[in-house]
Amino acid sequence: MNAAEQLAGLTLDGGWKVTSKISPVPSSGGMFSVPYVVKDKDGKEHFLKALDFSEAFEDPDPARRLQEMTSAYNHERDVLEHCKDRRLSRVVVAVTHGYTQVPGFGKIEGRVAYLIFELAESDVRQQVDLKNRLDCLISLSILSDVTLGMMQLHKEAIAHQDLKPSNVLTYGDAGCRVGDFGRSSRRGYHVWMDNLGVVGDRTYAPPEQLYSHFHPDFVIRRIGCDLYLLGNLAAFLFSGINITASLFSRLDAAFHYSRWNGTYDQALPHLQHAFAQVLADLDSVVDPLVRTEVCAMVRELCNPDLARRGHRKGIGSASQYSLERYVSYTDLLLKRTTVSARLRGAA
Amino acid sequence: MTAQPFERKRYVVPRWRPAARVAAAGELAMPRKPMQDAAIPDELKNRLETFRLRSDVVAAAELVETALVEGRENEAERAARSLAREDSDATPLVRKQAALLLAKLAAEEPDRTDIDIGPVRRRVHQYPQDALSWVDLALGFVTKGRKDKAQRAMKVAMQLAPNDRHVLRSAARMHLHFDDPEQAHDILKRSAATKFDPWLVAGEIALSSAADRKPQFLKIGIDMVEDGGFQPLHVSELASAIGTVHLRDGNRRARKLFRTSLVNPTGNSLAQAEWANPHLGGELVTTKQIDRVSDSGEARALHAYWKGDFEDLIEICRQWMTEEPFASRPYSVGSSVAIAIGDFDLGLSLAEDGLALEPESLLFRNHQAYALIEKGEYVRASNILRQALQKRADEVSAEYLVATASMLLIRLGDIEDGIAGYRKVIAAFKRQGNRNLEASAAAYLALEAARAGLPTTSEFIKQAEELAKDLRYAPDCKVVLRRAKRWQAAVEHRRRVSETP
Repeated sequence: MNAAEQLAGLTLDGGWKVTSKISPVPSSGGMFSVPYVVKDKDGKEHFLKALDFSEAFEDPDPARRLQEMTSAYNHERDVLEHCKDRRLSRVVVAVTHGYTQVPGFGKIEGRVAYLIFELAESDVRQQVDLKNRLDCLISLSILSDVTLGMMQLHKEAIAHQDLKPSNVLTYGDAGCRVGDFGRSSRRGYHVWMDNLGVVGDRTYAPPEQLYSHFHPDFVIRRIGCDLYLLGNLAAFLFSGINITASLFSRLDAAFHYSRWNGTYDQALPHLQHAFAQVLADLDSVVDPLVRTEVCAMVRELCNPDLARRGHRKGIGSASQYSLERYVSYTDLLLKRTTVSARLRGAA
Repeated sequence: MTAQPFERKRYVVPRWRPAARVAAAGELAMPRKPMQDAAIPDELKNRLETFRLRSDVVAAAELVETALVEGRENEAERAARSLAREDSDATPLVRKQAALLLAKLAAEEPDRTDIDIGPVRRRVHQYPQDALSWVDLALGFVTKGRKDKAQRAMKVAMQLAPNDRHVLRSAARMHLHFDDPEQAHDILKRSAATKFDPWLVAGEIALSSAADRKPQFLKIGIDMVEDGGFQPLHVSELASAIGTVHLRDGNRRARKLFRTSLVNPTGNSLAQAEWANPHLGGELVTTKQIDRVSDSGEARALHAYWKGDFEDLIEICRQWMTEEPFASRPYSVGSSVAIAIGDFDLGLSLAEDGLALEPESLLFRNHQAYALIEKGEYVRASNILRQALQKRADEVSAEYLVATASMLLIRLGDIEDGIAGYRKVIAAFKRQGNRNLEASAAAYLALEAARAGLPTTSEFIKQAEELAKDLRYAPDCKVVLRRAKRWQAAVEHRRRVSETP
């Protein structure tokens, strides 16, 4: 048992009381952390993420691994601090962070770093149970919040790179926010994860990353990845499917990246062919109230061709990878659909 | 007489089939060596563990998604089955995704039906960046004889994916179909992708022959076959194309190259090897090889033809028609064979179907006229022949038409002129050095003579037998001669019966 697992019952600096450990759900991307529920002085519950560096000592190169883990933690903390200062409304920021010494452990292995966040009600993955799709209005509202959150991040030259349903946290009437910056990348700052081919969850990753096709430009490579992930989330909200998996379900096995010896450009016509079929599937299930708009958004944001990804009016221009148009678009769509839904209800 | 079912020249020109079928045949792959790392990726491991702990819809769907992305579909079979069940309450697309995973595991063959223009047109309308669907749309238009629309659709595909193997080969094939072998050759000759791709080099070499030009990439192609490090399937058509050039030039390396092409052949390289059989003087292709390869209708047809298995050949032609719906050759072979075995209704209908694909074809007009004469519709046949003979025909087509016109004369009672016409045709084929056609024309003359009960029938049969004696690969001539002998026997029998008091 390592120190990060032993925080329950401790009182941390600032009077935070660790009440219980949350049983972790096996999923990808969760980096060496143990989740807890903590209470502040007023008894309000928060979420604590304790960093567990113990696995570094099981690595064949513990010094290197430890360096990677600490730099990843520092990176996430710095991103959170940066976002906190900028008051980003649709981004989950840390309430505080610090270190604690766990009793019964040595000075080095007992020192645990933590981050404390506002406790979310749930995440989108848990809300969409894949049996009954979310109500069209709820989905639109989530999409609108997440689009705004992503644009706020991009304005700070931060690419999230791991946007997926489980990283979109819901806060009741306060809407949704984008969380988990463990895999993010900041322009001008280098962290070891930047060297990874697929930075976030591979199941949601854009195809160019899976085919090891990397553009040297930060915006095209990393913001382009975020655009894909946002389109992927839109598809998930309105249909329950993930575009990356759907692409591979439609792609002949010969073109799968594990069997492909050609370049990404050579695989592209086959990916576009598969994508066309995925879009046709999507078109058949999205609520008619928003079908045209949502399908257009997915079509533009998830285009396997990075050069054609983004809003149709911005292709080739400096604003190609900007989400500003989508923020206005989703906001307008939400308002329009609310009115239409009311009228439909009244009728 | 009918045209010779298979032409004297054949090149391994690119085939054009729906993209899904070409992909399923492995012809669009660029394979890499299998990865050594057989370990299950962490994300998949986590999702397998979650599914083991709680086999609900979310866990199953996530496992299916990860397995698809990782290309390890077999790991999620149980999860996919639970989602695809009829009583599953997963959303429609989650169920569909599971069904697609199971279809991948079952290695289901793609749909073999023709391209349906409507849905493909809707798809390109919805997502115009899908170059392969534009190629499929062009194929649909070509099958319906809509040349302009096909060319427009192919132009869009070429703009979207100018270096794609399937797009380039299909575009080249389309131009060849439109009787523009120079343009077809130019497409592959000028593409920057050609010199790196054995499939494109194969097409360039084959199309250069069709365009009567020198191949540009012959040397590169030879290097690719000899030491390119390509898997056998990927150099099959290339070896076949180079082998065909060597065969034409009388180079002894042709046989070796055809053998290389057959290590892991395509339907096209199999057909080419079957075609080369008489030229190389030995059976290169086995029935087993043909059975293993998809879209091998043409090879199968040639195989049955050499064996003289004409009854099966009709059915094989039908299969070939579904493989290459725009190609008129299955119809020309089918109608020729149907007439040779005496099934004139079928011969007529296949000739008319062929005319729908190739309205200017003199070959189909000839078969149409022949079948109509056999059915007693002399006036219609006479009109068709008259119109056809007025057109400028190549020398071989003109001889077919003259032979069929001579047949009509015999049927109308003008025996001497009819026989004289046939003799001229036989002499013309002899002058051209085409022994097969010479023997075939003699066999058709013998058949007409037998049918008319001429006293010289035995002489004609003997002459045709003499011409066919040394021909190992002239099965149609032998079939027609068999029919001539049956007619001779029947006429003799009728005469004896009528003479009996």
